[in-house]
Amino acid sequence: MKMIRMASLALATSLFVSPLALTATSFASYAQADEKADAATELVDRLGKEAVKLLADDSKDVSQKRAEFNRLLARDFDMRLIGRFVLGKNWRQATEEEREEYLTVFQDYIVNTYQKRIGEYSGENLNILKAKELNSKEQLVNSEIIRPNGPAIKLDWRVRRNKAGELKIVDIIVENVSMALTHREEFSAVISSNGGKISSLIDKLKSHLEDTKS
Amino acid sequence: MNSKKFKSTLLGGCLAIAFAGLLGGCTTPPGEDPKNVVYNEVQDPLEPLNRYFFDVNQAIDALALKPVAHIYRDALPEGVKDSVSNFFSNLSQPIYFLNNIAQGDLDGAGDNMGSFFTNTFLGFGGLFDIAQLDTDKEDMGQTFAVWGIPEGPYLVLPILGPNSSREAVGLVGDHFADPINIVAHHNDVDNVPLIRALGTGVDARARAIEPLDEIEKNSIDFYAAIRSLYRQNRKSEILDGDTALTPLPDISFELEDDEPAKADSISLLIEEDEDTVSDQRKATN
Repeated sequence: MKMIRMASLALATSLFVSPLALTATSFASYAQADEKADAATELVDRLGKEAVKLLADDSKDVSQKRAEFNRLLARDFDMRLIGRFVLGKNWRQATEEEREEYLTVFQDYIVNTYQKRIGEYSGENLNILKAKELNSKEQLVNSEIIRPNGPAIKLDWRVRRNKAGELKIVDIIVENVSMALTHREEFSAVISSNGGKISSLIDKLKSHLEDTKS
Repeated sequence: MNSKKFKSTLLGGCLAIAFAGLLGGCTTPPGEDPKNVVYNEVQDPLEPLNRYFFDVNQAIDALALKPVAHIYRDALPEGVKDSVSNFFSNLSQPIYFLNNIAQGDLDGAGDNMGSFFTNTFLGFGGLFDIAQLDTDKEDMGQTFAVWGIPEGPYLVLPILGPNSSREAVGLVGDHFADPINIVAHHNDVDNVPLIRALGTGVDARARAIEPLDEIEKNSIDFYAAIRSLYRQNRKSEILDGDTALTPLPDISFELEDDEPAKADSISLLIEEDEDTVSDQRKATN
């Protein structure tokens, strides 16, 4: 029934990367296309391992973990592109200052949201399945989270090579639901119900962060 | 009979909802991709009303459903909960079967049939999932989508929650087409649809307590978050979870502060969002 599907979807969206053991996957060695696939997969793999180490690191306190998490996010995710995508058509109407302010708050919001989600995560394995080319710039890395109780959760990573040639993650798709798109629709609703002002979104994000940072 | 009267009132109520949804569906622009393989901007012309019912549902949930779900989750052992889930799932296999046939998915239909008979006879009336075929849940709303009927506006129905108008009509259809309901009615067993709905509902709610709480805690507009999750999840269900077809957001634009793109790709400098795409489509229709 729809609700059960939404339930497993909802469960999936509350999880993130945290492999304790990574199943080795072998790739066929064709030509260039596979180099791109490998590079994308390695990116996801490395991030996954570092995220796990960070979670399990008891020597760090909450704010240190947050700082480290911020660093990983900035390093492996194209936060500017994601932020711009999430703001949608409102980006064009924003002033330069609003854009910069928004991107800062947005990064904070993402760190806050996903750090908690990862924090609740334990005992599951990340299994990288394969990588598929989407277009000349992008790969989609398919993986799954193997859980002790319940079916595996599908987790796809959209990886894109930017102008500088760096490979960055631009979206995480959990059980066929895009996180970037979900945030975008939410932010868009906030802006529309406040007369189309981006400042209202920025304020809302700020007050949300104040309420939830503890 | 009591059941007949209940049924006719229910029928009346459901038809009213369905017609409201259908009339809303008439506002769908022509040429819209019904399965939404290309992701379209959400149609929510009834947003104020939807938000109202969303709040009503939240209240009902907090007062009634969630406490029951909590107790269900905490008091019953895992095995019992799995059996409850299996039992209700199994009772729905016949209608999944019919919907799969209607969608032309004979493999899926075969799985439904196999699951139903195996689990009913070998699984103590459906309490145990012996077949382990992991069948998709197919409803009439998905069938309509496969047939090409457009999604229609987003609706938040009292108690039933998020729906599209297409799915709302499907719910009514499923209710009357469901073989289990028909058999129960013929044998004068009362309230079978209601019990099934309640049982499935509580079980599903129990499983979703933490995830939904977590989404709510992190959302700045819970209504919009649920709407987005619902629609994306729905697309996934309609396409039976096939990633290759699931639409990915279009991020084919270049940042202004980057080097300008080569002459043959100037179109990338224009941000392509759903508005421009759908405007173009409307213009060509």
